[in-house]
Amino acid sequence: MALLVPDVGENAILQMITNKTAAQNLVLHLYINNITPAETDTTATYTEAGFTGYSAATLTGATWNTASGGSISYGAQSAFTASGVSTDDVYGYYVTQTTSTILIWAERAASAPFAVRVSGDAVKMTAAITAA
Amino acid sequence: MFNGIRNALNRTLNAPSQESPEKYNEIGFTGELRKGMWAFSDSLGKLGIVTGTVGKHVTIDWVNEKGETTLSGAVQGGTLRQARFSEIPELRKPSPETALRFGYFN
Repeated sequence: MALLVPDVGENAILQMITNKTAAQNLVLHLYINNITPAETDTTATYTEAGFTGYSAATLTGATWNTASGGSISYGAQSAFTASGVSTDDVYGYYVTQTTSTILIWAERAASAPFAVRVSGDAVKMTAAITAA
Repeated sequence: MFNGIRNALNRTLNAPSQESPEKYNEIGFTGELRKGMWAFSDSLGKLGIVTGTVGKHVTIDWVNEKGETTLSGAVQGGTLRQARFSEIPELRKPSPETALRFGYFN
């Protein structure tokens, strides 16, 4: 399922490209509530994973690859690995700005949910965004 | 994504204050449904979120009263309408600013 940039994310992007506001690092989070991203969502819509070993991943600006063909990808894979027993079901991910915490985009996994149950279970992904 | 400056200005001028949510327009806008929008099927009596289009069909994730996804499906595009404001689950109701963007203000 392709990612969705919600209304609040569109506004944040508009303000960044016009230099109304400065760009910020992005933060990649996993969410565990069973929802499909909607245009009307905000960061508060998403329930973040909380399994032992989980920590949201900061996507630093310098690590993104050079944009090409209308697409940009992050230069490293983000791995979220459990280090204990868990009951989290991961349905997808969402990306926020690090300081403002505004929701920029979100995506439900096509094969959701991923059940994180025991130490060593991991969700791995490489962030990327393509302009349509 | 862009509706033009004039449209944006008109909408801004018509925006109610944060303290007057009773001024929400129940119907919403009447434009084309697109990905991420709340939609309702009157024939099925079901609420969902549009996830895309395949040919003349709209793919949709149906949701329950809590806004949780229950099933993915596809229906003919003409059988859906934008959900009314009151049909959007409480937990996922948009902010006044976002509601304005989707035509929920008079």
